Amino acid sequence: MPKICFYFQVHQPYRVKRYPIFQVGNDHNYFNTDEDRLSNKKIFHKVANKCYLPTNALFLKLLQRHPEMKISYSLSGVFLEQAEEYYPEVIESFQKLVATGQVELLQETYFHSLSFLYSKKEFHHQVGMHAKKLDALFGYKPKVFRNTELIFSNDLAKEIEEMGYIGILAEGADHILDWRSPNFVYHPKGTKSIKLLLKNYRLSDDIAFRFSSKQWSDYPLTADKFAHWVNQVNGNGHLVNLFMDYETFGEHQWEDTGIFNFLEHLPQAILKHPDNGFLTPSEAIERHESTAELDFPHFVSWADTERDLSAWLSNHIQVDALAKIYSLEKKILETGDEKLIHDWRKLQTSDHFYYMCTKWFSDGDVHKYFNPYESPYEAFINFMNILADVKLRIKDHNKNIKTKVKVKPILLSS
Amino acid sequence: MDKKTSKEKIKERVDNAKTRIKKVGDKISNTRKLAKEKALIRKTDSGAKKLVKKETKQTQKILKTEAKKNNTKTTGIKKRISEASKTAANRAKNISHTVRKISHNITHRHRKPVQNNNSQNSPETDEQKVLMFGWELPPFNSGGLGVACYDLADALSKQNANITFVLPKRQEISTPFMKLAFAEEIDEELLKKSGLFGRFGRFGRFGANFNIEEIDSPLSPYLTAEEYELRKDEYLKLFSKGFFARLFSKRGMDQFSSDMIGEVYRYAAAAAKIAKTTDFDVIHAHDWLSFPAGITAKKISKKPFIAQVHALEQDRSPSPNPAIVEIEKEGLEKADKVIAISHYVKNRIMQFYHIPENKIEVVHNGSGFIAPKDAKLHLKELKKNGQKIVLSAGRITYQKGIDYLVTAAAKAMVYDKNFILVIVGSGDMRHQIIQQAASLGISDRVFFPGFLRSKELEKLYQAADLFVMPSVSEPFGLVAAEAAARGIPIIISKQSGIGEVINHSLKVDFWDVDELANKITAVLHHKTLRDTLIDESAAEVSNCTWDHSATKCMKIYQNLQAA
Repeated sequence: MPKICFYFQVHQPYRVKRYPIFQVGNDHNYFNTDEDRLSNKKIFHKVANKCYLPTNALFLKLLQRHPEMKISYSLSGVFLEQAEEYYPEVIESFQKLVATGQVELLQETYFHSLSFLYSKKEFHHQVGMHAKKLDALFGYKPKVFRNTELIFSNDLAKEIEEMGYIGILAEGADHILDWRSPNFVYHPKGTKSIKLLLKNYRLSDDIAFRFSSKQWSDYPLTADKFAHWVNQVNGNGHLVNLFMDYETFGEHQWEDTGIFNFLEHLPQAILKHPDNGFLTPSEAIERHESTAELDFPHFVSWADTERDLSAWLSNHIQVDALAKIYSLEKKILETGDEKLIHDWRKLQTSDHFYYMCTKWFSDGDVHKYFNPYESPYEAFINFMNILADVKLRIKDHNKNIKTKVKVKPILLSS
Repeated sequence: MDKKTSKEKIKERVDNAKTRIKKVGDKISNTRKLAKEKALIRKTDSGAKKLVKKETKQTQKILKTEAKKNNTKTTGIKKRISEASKTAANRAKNISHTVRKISHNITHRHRKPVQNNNSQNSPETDEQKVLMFGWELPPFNSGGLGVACYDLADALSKQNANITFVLPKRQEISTPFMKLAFAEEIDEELLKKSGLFGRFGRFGRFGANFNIEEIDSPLSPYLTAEEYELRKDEYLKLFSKGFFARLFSKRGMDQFSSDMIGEVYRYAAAAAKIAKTTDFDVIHAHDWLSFPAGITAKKISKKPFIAQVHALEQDRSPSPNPAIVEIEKEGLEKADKVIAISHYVKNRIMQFYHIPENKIEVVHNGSGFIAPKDAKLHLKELKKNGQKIVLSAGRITYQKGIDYLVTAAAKAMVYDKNFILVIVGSGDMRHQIIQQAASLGISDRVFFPGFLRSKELEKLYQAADLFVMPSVSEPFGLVAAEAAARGIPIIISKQSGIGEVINHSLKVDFWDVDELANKITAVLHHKTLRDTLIDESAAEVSNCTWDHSATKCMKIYQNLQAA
């Protein structure tokens, strides 16, 4: 009876290069460098070869082998932009997957940003940009929304409902669910018809985090073992939402951990039980009524054990950097300078602020692992230097306009 | 009715007596405060005792007369009175004990005693009898080594370590938590029998000619130049013949350091007798100066020998003394375990002396420093005008990398017009640095107050917005930890040990002046960066205790004996 609903987050930020104070005013190229740790091109190539291409090839094979299998993706705009620029084969491989008809694409902000927290106008704009991008590359119009890093609240749900989406994804956080199970469809408080799918974080994390952990009592994880856990949901839920980073396959869990082998055998192990199956998010939403209303008065995300915004917004430097970048909105849009505005938006990508997180920095945990900068402080200093340059560009632009205005009458008279 | 009132009266009197006792206590604690403030140490001790005696006597007298006056002689009241006076006496005793303890701290430490947060560990660890070789202890210390040894030994003693601390010569030091021994007597027979002459690299070369009796604790190695001049003749006479004379003439080393090496070996020779007559499980020697003593003790006792490195010769000098390097090498090689005070030092031990990694344990130093709470704003006028203060403190020598800081500051000053750089300290590079600032055209924004007493230095610390430690090589860097403890953001060089303890700091390679300038500008410009660094490092600073260091040492002792 339980149906598996796979959703994968596919995202790469435009990391900013080392940018000391001396470069302010002299260098407007923030995202290109040869330095290994920060070269977006090099990182994209590495991840594409380890994860995107082999995993896409495997899923294509599996979808063809099992016509009842379904999966869904959220491909961020900045991911797609980098794929087009650095590795077009990656785009092609996703196009092939979408063409099977067994793949659903979800909507998000183009820049994988925290814009909903700071500017509704900017948020709408970025969702619109993402819609355009998916249409251009895949001819696809999403019906279900997933906000950056599963950041979610009642207010977001209302906004998304008004924008016409039928469903939205969120974390199955214990403090919201309490005794309830994530294996049902719910609806958020204060909405009319939009439905909510919640991540089953135990089963998701068994694959995403624990798969290769030798300290884990259930190590090694086999497809049959996992299918057995899914079967246990039988009679106790409609669906099992397995939401995870796509990089789980081949990048977080390397090929030698056996992750691809696991994935290859998972569908047949799941389908051994005649009641089991797969659903895309919109199928799940169309097929199941909401079991209950859930209240998300505060923001919930899938990050860290706190499942809140603290990965991006828990210290002074993060609050400062985010406030400063969004404070430029009006002035920067007034310039009408497309390159400048696009740079500003790339700087809104949530990862920049994640890198500034000081939680557990002393212990050297996951934040440190995913941080291409030496410390949260380096990330902040670099980012703020670049922001200083962005401000200079706004000023310069305004100066140029003024001089142009002055020049005009002279031109007319001559 | 009558009875009642008299009872009440007695009660009242007892209460009065109690308040008096309390007053005595208050008076005593006031005396204690006074003693601390004025640091009239010894006088205070006896003075306080006298005062306590006097006050106690008086109280007892009053109580007695009060009791006598009262005609209803209830035995209960008597008892209460005698109890009250007993408490007073006990309290007086306790207080006098604390006064003595405090005065001890004032005399010997000038720092707050190590806090034992972890004392619940103590009963579980087995007693460890440690023969510890050091070179100096406060107040007779010339550098940080003595203080570190004292603090570590103090913390160890609280974790069930029974320490005999050996010093090269007799000094009046009071260490209530450990025994002291002085390397005064040399047992030549013991030395000969033990075959130490044949095996010690350097002793071996001079064999039986090693004329020990003539050298009797001649001088402290860290004598000031003036003191050295005064005692030079006496000293030269002692070294004019035998082993040392030959050693020095052959090596042609400068007099000062070779004197020191002579003393190091005399210390080692005397260590044999101490090792023979003392009961211990493990030998723990601090830095090269006491390594030969540690080796001797190991030879005599066959007990495990731990060599702890606070600094290597390569950290102390840009041109290491080959004789010291040789002693350092021998000590590290013959040790059963090496303790490095940071991973930075550990890596250097591996790099310079090729000691295998698994033989070296890192035990970070602690910091007994507690920042003064009543922070006042100093240099108000300057700060009112929006000037920020970047501070650096330490010796101005090649090792401290101040020249890099000045270059970086000049670069940062182009971007930030509102800060000054204050470089506290003296040293052989001071004049060169002053000239450097002048030639960079920033003399008006760089200040060199010279060596400052702690009170003035504290004022500067309290006014500082940023502390920079740009050392070329810094085994630990306590000064940066103490700045962080005061709530000042710190920039430290990656060539230092302190960054391993305080992660929430900004780190630069000492030579990377551009990056240093970048970070100085950033800290001064972004208040949120300062606030985050301060908030986040607070927990790390409070974790930086000698108690943690002692726990690790105890484990090393236990493992060595189990092996």
